[in-house]
Amino acid sequence: MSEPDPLDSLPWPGPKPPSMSCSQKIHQDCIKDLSPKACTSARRRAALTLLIPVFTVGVFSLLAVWRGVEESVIRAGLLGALGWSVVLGVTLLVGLASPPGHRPRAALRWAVAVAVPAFFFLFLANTAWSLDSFATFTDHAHVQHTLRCGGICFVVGAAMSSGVMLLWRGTDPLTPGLSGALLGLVGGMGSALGMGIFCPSHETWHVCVSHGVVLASLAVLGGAAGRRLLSP
Amino acid sequence: MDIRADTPTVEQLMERYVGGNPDAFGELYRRVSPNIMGYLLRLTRNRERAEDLLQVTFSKLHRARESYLKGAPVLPWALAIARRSFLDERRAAKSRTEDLSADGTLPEPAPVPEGVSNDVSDAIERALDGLPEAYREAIQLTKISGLSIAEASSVLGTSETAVKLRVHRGYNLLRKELERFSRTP
Repeated sequence: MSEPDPLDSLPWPGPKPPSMSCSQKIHQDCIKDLSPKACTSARRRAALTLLIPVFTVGVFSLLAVWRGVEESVIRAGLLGALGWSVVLGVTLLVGLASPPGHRPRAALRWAVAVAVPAFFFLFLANTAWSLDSFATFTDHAHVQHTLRCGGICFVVGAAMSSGVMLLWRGTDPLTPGLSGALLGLVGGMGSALGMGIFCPSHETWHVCVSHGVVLASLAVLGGAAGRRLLSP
Repeated sequence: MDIRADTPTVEQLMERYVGGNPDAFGELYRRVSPNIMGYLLRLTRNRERAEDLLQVTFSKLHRARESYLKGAPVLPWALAIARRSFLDERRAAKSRTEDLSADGTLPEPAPVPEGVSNDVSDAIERALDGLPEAYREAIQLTKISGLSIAEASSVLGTSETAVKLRVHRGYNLLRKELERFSRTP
């Protein structure tokens, strides 16, 4: 058992009440326009957040059918999306489903924010159907295709991340950057999985760069945006 | 009868305030404002600035009340907003060159003048004000505002180990300062 610290018994200064005039001003400001608002739970917002990537994957799947992508490709993509939606669900449960102050340690949440994109890269690299040489990958036609695919993936992911960011706006003064990174991850993952179904190319370099890098960059951008948007 | 069973927690008061109850705000303010004011006073060492920042903090809290998540601990939530307001204000002041001293730094408010006091509380106040900001903040949050190490670390945006270290180092400096006080006749 540790010894009690002698400083513990000191008469520490107590809380300091503000002046009467300051308190009156604050009361006036905070009581005017006090319209009733709904106080939602973190769990409900997390559930709504999960619906957004699910919806996006659904839209991309319909587009893939309309575009005439092979049924086996769509089926494999949906199977992958199903597995990763479980990972996303766990990510949201660990990272955001409880109110700030009751969430798991920041270190664990940072580990999730780093590990999920890392495993996603591994998944993409291992499930790709072919591997071209780097020289082939960097030829003009391939680069153009990768940029187009990556661009669509980025724009859709950024739009989704912005949507979920608005849903969580002002909710986390404690770790806004970390929560923003996790929300960026959600948007990026939805978009990358959707593109995995819609995109005809399943070459390792292509999927890692145009789908995987987009996911990682949206997580980083989400962290930066979260600092501004998630803090009240 | 247990009186505490009838007393709503600050979290319940916050939910009622979000629901539009002005009386809940009054009670919430009565309970949390002295803690926030104490923290701001410790950061700024200036009552006027601390009161201005308290107003900014409550104004932000009022505007963001809809985004309060059910069950979130109110005090760390409000203290984090207060800290952010303080840092924003300091950054803005730094960019206003007229506020800077000749060496280009932000002038610190003058600490309480040195003097011999027989009051231990006064000595602690003075010793706390003399600590480096990081130690002062960590001790204020854990020892005076009553936050746990985990809560203080989330308010300060650092790890629990860093908070423990700051508190420990701050204690050592305080101890030295108070020993000096006890030797003063």
